[in-house]
Amino acid sequence: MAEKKEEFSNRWGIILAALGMAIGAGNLWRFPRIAGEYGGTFIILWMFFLVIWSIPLLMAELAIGKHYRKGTFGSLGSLAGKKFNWMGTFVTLVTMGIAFYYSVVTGWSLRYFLLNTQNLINSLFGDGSLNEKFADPSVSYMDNFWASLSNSSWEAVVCYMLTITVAIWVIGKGIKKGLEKTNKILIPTLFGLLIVVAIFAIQMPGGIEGLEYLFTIDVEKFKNPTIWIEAITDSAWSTGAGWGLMITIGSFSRQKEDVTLNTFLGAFGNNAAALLAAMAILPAVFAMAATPTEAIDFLHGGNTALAFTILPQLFAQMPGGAFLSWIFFGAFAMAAFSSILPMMQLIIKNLTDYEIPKKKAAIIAGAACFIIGFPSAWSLDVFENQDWVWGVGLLVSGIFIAFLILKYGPMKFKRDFIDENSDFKVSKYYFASMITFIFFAGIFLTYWWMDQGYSEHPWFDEKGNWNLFDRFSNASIVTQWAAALTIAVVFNGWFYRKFVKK
Amino acid sequence: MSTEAIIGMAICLSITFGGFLVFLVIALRADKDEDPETGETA
Repeated sequence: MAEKKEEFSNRWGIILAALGMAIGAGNLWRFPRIAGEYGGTFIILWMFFLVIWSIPLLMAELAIGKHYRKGTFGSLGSLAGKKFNWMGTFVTLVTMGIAFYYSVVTGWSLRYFLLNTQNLINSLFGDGSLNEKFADPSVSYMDNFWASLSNSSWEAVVCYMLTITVAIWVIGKGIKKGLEKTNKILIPTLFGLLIVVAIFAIQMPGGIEGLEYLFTIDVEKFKNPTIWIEAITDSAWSTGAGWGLMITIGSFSRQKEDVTLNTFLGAFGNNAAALLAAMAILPAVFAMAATPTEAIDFLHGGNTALAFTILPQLFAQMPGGAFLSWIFFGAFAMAAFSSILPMMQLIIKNLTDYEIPKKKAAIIAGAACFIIGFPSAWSLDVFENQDWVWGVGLLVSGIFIAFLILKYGPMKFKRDFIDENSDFKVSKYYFASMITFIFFAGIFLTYWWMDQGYSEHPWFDEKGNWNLFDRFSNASIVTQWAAALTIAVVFNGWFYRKFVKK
Repeated sequence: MSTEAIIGMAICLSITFGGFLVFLVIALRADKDEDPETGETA
């Protein structure tokens, strides 16, 4: 008897999975930070690049997955042919690299949710002393808590093991009963929680000033190339375009699904969630900071500092802050968890394509996340290195996917892959020109980010040695990409036989 | 709030949330028109 293919029940299963994949920690800790820094000018460009960069790539990925109904190895390999099969392998390895360290973020988010639950209980039924510690900058409670959690902490290890175990349990239940059912609860709840925080934060004295910073469009700023690059990059990272995750989601799609409409709905939903998060965080930061300059300084603190030290401290200083902080970290944990699910599903789908039973594949994926993610849980430097290496690697993944579509012929691709069963259609000229743009813009963006000089010695250290162990060095990026590419090229034939030809 | 910020907010929110709602309505309509037996739209 032929094995019944797993599928989402309907379009909403796909859209919720796409939203869960795209709405992650980045929407809550990166987007509000960048949007607050550059204001409405950035948001306009970020919306523009949703249509220019993210939607064409996401549309193509969903269509590839739906067409071939295989995981990323098999689907991209089928599109690429044997000669370029290694490109699909590289895309998969990059996303796996992200899954390994991202599982640590879900662990941190769980720990912060638990801490805030403890704080809420203490505020409601105890003496509220914990909240006082949170609020007092001279005590540095949150700084110390974050420093101890992010470095050599068994607590962090236990939390991320726990989240991986829950993720395995959810995905092990299958697409309909696992991923789809969980997203039906997570995504609407996440939107609801963000709306609650936004309403509370805007009503705070000074909260409106945050909205002022967020939405003011300064035409002069359009001349600043950095804003353009931040906008296109944030759109790429935030929507998950080029990660191969939409290929995985598409592989479980029913044949009659409308690729174009589902992509647009998912992509705009992601932007709506990001904007909602910014409308929650920016007013809170600006209301609680002594001056707008101090608020901007907070935003310069970086993703993890903003989310894990500044925000809890700011929330603790406001009336009802313990409750609001609890809601915020509940939303944060949900966002992180809903994103790790498709990443693990990507690994599991490839393993099941290799004919490993689903439950065994889920355990293997969980074990891989645990073992390979461990150094990121143990050391913040390793975590930041991995975030940097595979974050920029995603741009390369986008270039590879765009190249494979260009090789097939973008207009032909649109007709054969995207328009099949699509009632809602976009112009073939739009799709073809955007894919061409993505290919060239991706090359430029990769160069730009590597040229940013985040490391004092991008290639060689003071002694002239290859600067591999500097977390932000180009040497580290190139070495780890080279390792992934070597695996992809050396085992190209094997991957092709096992995942494509089979 | 300044006029620039109000204009910016109106533009950003209407495109993002408006776009989301428009596609949501199109999807709901397509689902309504779909034949449950064949999955074909009417």
